[in-house]
Amino acid sequence: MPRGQVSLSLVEASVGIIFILAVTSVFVTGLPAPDHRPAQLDAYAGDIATVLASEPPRHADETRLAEVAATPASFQRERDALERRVTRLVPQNLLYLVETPHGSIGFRPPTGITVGTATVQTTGGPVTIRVWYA
Amino acid sequence: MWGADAGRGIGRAQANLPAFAIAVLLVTSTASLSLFVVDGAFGAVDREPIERARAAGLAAALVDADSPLAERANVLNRSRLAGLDATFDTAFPSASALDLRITLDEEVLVERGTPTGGTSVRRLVLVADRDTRTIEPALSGSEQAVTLPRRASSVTVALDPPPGTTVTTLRVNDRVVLHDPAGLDGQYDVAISRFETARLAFDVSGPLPPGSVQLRYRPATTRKAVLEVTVDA
Repeated sequence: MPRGQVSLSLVEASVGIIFILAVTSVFVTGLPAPDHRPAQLDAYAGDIATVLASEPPRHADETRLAEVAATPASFQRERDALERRVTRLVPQNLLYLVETPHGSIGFRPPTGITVGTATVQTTGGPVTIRVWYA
Repeated sequence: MWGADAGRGIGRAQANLPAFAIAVLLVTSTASLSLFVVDGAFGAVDREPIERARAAGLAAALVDADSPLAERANVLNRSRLAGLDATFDTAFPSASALDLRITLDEEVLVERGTPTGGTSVRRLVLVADRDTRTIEPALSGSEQAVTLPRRASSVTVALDPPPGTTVTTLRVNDRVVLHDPAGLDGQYDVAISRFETARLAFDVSGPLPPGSVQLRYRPATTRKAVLEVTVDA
């Protein structure tokens, strides 16, 4: 009783082709573009840190950031001036947070978003600058 | 199954040979086609990181403290920025062959080739502008001292004391920077710290009338700017 049968080799070949095409389709549909925003945000944060760290202090200590991080009193005295300075420095589409050992200025970053970070060590402790896209 | 169909199976088995050949042909041609597609995909993906790396590297070199433009890290000199187009090819020979554009706050500083699209890297910089200020303090009384109104990194002291008066010592913030027992006269460049306010005190044998001391200093005024480097590789 002869029956029309597809050759087993062809069946195997078609399964193999489906496998190969499955892999290929990943490349045809395109790999997701890598997210460059973290690198750009880190560059922004690093630039702000560099600028602030090499700025002269308003009253005492070595640099502006060292002055802010020195004591709670100096932080309270300088926070408004530093806030004005950082607000002027960061581009309009960014929000920022500057963390010092004696308190923070700026905004609280929302959870689950990309944040660029830079840390500067001063005599009073580390000062961390975070920026993110508003 | 092979055992049960042994009698008729001989003919089927022979017929399978061309089917097998076709199957191998199909699989290999599909595989090679896939390789072309994958190769093209990798070729397309590879472009952007190179562009990005070149743009980021050039931007980092421009704002670095050793950059020909920089006064210090992230602070660029305004006059050197204005002349960047002329000096760019010698300062950054590896980048001059690329299609690139460098802008400062939307103002095009350098353009090489015809960059269309491409990858951009932005950096925050300060643009420093220096203007020379001159003051001629009138020094009198027991404390012959003057405080520079602005911070600067150096001050030129021009001393022309009247006859009979000798200026022996100049102190900046209580540190002796110039001393000559026979008397200081002429122009002296004194390096001062830009991190503290400078107070210049003179040891003088008599009063110094106006005009006998001239201080020239170059305070920097900075403004914020965004430096954007676009590379279209």
